[in-house]
Amino acid sequence: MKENKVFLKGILGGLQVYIGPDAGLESIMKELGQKLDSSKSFFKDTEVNLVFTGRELNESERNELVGFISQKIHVGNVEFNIPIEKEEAKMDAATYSTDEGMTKFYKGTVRNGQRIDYQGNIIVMGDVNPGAEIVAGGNIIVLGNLRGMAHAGVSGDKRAIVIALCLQPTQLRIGNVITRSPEDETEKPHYPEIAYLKGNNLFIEPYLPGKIKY
Amino acid sequence: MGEVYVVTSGKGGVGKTTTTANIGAALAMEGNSVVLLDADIGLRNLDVVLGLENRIVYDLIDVVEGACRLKQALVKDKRFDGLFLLPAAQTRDKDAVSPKQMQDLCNELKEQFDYILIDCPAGIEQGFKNAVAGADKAIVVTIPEVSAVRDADRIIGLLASNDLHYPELVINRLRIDMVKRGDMMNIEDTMDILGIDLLGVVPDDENIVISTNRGEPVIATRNSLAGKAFINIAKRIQGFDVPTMDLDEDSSIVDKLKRLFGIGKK
Ligand SMILES: Nc1ncnc2c1ncn2[C@@H]1O[C@H](COP(=O)(O)OP(=O)(O)O)[C@@H](O)[C@H]1O
Ligand SMILES: [Mg+2]
Repeated sequence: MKENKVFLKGILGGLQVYIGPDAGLESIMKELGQKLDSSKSFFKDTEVNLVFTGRELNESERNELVGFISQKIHVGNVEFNIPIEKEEAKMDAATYSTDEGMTKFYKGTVRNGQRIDYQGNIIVMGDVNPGAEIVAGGNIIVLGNLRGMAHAGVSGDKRAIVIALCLQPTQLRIGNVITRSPEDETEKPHYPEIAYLKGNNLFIEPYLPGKIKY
Repeated sequence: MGEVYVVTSGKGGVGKTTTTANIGAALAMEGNSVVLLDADIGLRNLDVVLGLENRIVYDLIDVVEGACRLKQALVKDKRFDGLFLLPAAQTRDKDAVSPKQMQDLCNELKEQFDYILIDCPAGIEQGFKNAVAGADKAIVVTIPEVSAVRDADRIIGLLASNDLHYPELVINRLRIDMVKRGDMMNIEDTMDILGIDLLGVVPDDENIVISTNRGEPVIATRNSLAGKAFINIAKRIQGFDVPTMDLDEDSSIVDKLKRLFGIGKK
């Protein structure tokens, strides 16, 4: 871990910001700014709680930071100077997890050019068409045809899975593993399938209820 | 009160203008008052397809800017009673009209006509936004090709975000021979992706090219399959339940004979 770095991590209802022991206010704002800008759509319309951990921040630094962040996202509750160990424990209980946590239900077809972003799990009750994107912090379940792009476990959660009644995505990503569908168009399967990671390999299998080993 | 339909597709060249002209003419033929509104500012050609180019004095922009009264800008069709064209401006920019102005214009037209059909420009930019602004319903035109269907899907999504939730689909330029050989997407493949109601299927028909060059709608051509398809679509728009026609007319007779003699498939 670089001493002057800033790390962001998604937690339930918000973000954990780790600040390296030597990070100055200016570099913190610069890093944070870039990171928040690149995931703006992710936080659109939602209140984001912030938990700062790592290096202690004095009062003027805190005020400046909150002011700066408020320009970028809608800031909710803010906690400062949370000790790392305590934070770690808190994280485990509260992280968006692939076993439980918040889930977004989308009812209808997700069409070309549309994107659904959510920090928790996403369930689509409809088709995901080519050119559409589903990006979830947790699992993705499509009760229909998945023909677009799906990215489960976007913040790096390798336990995330993707299930679709008909799984034929243009591209599938779990954590930071990316696969694309084979070029030679094979006959589409008429049964639900599940995609999961084992190590750094993405596997696709028929989804058999009760035989889950992922 | 009339109803405003926008005819749109995303991709250019799939048959929006042809569809607008022919559905409009067919609706007029059945006794409705119809106005066709060309929203393709700068690239108008609805007037050419209808053979009315030389009768244009004022255009849509003149109307919204108050340079003339609505009535002065309406061009009466030479063949179909009750059919009018409100032409696009050819030498102006798309930004010369706003969505709000289009809405107002549509509301005014609704009071005078049974059907208002808007010929939408290709693309998803300002021209599209203007064209959909005043619409009550949408007709999405596509051809059975992957890229056109993709664009149609994009458009259906954008229509929904403009509160046009249940668009209906016209599949244009279908070629039964190619579908049979497996060289063209069939109706099912297309419907499977788009998942909206089917308003009609129009075969690829050289009569369209011939009639378009003559500046008349193909529904005026006798025995044209495409013409029949457009007339059927117009009937469905009026609420009649018209069964889909057999696009396979020529070969079906041969097939029937073959079957009779037990030499065909099935
Ligand atoms: N069903 C059809 N069969 C044959 N040619 C067609 C058919 N529909 C449209 N065309 C031709 O395709 C071209 C594009 O049609 P047009 O209606 O101008 O498309 P758009 O308005 O979507 O750009 C024209 O030359 C037209 O004559
Ligand atoms: Mg056109």
